[in-house]
Amino acid sequence: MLAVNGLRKAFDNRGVLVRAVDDVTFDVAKGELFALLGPSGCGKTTLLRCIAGLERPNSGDIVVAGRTFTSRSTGIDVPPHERGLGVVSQSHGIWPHMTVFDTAAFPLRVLPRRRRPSASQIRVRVEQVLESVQLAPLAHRPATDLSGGQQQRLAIARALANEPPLLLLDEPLASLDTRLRDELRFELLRLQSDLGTTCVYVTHDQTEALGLANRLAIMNDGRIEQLGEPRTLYDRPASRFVAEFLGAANLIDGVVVSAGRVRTAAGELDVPSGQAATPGQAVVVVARPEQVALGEAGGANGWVGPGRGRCLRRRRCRSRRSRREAANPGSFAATRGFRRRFDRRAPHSLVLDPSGRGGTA
Amino acid sequence: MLVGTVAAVVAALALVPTAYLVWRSLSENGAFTLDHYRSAYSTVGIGTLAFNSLWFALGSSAVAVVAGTLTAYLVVRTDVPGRRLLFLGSVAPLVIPGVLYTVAWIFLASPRAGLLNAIPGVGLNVYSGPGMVLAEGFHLAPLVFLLMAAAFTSVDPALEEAATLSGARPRAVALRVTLPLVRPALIGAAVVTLVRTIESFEVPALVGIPAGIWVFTSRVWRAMSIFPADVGQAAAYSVTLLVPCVIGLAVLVRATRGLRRFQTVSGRGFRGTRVELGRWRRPAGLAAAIYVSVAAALPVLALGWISLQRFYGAASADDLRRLTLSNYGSVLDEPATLRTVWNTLLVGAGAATVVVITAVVIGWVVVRTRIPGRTLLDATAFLPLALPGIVLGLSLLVVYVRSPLPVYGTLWVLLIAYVTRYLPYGMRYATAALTQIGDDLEEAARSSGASRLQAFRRILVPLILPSLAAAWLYVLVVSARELSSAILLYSPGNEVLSVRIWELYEDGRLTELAALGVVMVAALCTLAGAAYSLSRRSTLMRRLARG
Repeated sequence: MLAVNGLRKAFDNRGVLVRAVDDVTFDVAKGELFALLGPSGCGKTTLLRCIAGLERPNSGDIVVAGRTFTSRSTGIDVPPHERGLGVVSQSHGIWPHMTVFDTAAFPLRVLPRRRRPSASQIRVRVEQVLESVQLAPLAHRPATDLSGGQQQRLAIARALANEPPLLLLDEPLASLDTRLRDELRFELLRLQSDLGTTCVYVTHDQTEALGLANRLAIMNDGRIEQLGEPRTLYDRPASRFVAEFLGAANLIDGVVVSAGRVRTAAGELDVPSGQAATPGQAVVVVARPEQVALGEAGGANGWVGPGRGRCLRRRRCRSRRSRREAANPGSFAATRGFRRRFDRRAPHSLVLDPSGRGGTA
Repeated sequence: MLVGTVAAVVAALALVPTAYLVWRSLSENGAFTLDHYRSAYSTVGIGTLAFNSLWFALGSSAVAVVAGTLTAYLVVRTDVPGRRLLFLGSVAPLVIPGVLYTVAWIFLASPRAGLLNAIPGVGLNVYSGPGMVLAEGFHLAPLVFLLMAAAFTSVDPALEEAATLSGARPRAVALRVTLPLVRPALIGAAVVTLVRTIESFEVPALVGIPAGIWVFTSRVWRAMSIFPADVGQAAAYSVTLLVPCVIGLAVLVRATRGLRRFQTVSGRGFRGTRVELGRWRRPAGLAAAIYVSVAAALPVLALGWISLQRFYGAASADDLRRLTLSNYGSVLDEPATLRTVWNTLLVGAGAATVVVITAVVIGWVVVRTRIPGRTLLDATAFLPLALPGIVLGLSLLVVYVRSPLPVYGTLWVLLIAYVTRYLPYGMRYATAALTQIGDDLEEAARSSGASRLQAFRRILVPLILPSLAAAWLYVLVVSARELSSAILLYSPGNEVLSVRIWELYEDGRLTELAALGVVMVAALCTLAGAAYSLSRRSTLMRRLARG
């Protein structure tokens, strides 16, 4: 449905060249909800604006549903208003001089005359799309009278009005409060599965990306660090950046001894990693908190954390889902092995669950 | 107490003279009469006057609004080439005093000696309806430009992007989104120009009278310049003129109230991408260049050219070999000129100081306090906007000729006129600066033990000082340009620069007038540049103050 190939976009920021999008390639299949996840400034919004046609890439191709939108080699550049995509941006873009109905009808009313539906067809379509975002009763209110969440739903209705093949969403929930955000995220999922619209969803919020996307790409410094299904990215991070960005992670530097065994500063560990590693290679062992248990000192596959073990969140130490964290120089998070009463002064070691999933990078 | 004094002063400035004027138009030697109106409208029919005023106002406003809006759109929202130059050219005529700008157009397009008419095949005549409309329209376009540039800047680019992404072509985006969003500002600009053209004096007097096209302001002037002056008749014309001005101001207040809902600046997101004109980029740039050269460059060049001539007359190729700087020497050496410059600076600086102080006090009361009647105070301070300059001049004359205060015939009466006329502008600077500084800064000072007055003086005033300096310079510049209120109030020995230029024109000393004009334009440009850079810095400072 969407194919982005070798896309580059650089800005000149007062003489300094900023590579906002640096050789990005990916495909999105029909009906998929694809997320672009990354910290702010990683280039994800610029990438989305290139797809929408608001930015002109320096090189690379963008093809949507078999139609080339941008191709620097052949010089094709379809202007944004002819791309027929649906776009929802963070700032909503709700026009203060229109009613809710006029806003949603706008994409249909500005179609070229031969493709424009009749007024009655437009009315039917707009009522339908407003119904699907639960705004039908407010159709004749001024658009800016709506609350933040309603405005965002209106922006979605407008983007969907002429049934775009591809819907681009740029941090659509960022400006809403937490409760509304959860509600709208659920609604977006429902809409997407009802309509089967292909979506590209840009966010810096991992909960959103993990909760919504079929597949996601993690971006950093204009590049895609890793691309795949959420579970894969979490379990098998390809880089330190991905490991740290997605979820909590304990990172242990080490050197591969043999397949599945890594020597670290605190001792040798069995690391059940599916990733190929040659002996002698420097690696980072990624131990998710749920893979790390609190155990007696000297147990199998255990290591003593740097410094003295100390529970930083005392109140929750008795429950299973608690964390043990050591003070300087590094702290570790563990959520297993808290069945026993936790003695803050006794020495403990951390045990990497040999049956659980570990990762190297 | 202080507030009460200020309120009384403001009322005295704006309302008392107007009341006197109305009374004067309806009485003769203390007895009620309608004779003044009768005589006023038997000389020239009220129908003709109203008709002339109307088409002059509508025509020149249309020129100003179209030119100002288009150039503002090009400069702010598109990728037209040479935007910085276009910006400068679009605001430049604002700095040129009306009397100079009008004279410059007479130099350019008078049927006998107009410089443009020296080009074979060109036959322009400024002494005509279209001539008046164009000269006035070009002179007012910068005002529209500034208002509309601000409006276009404040439109959230995300709103235009949303339209593009909904499939709207660039023209549809401009017509269906951008234009409706700036409509309140556009209405505001149109009303301002209408009021300004109705009260305009220079073009109707210098061009309209020789052309036999009378409007209200030129009739007021004529009634006062004949001997003996017919004050009653002038008052009758003035009162009639007040009606459309007051209506215009009321419309303006309503229109700007609606403006607030439309101001949707979002701090987030991308800086708006400019509209790409594509194959229209060059033609648009060319059209803008032609407009700027006609409206800004040509008049200044005409003044410069005439100032280098020995005699004023039809232009010929020989003139090039006879250039001289003697006009500068003779006009600047004259003691009268030096006195005039001194008077201008004295009255301008005095008016600027009084205006800024008054505006800060009123602005502070309006923005910061809950004192009852503060909105009324605000409204009163804005009233002078509806008072045409020549009407203000006439009403002050009516008041102070009979007043026991020895004001009439001195510079003081000019000071009073300028303060009244420019208080609304000072107010605008002051309230804008004050609203942008959070209460918390003053409250922090109060909780540190400062009194209200100390907090005002030690916290607020230093923070808004750059703004106030800009306002001060602005008032100085506009009062140096002012002619219409001064023309009835000056007395020999108390002329200001604009009046001096008027006198030189009446005396036919046109080459010297041009030389003085060039010097004046250069000085005003310097002052305006200083005001501009100061107000830029003050925005920066306010941003810092807000954190």
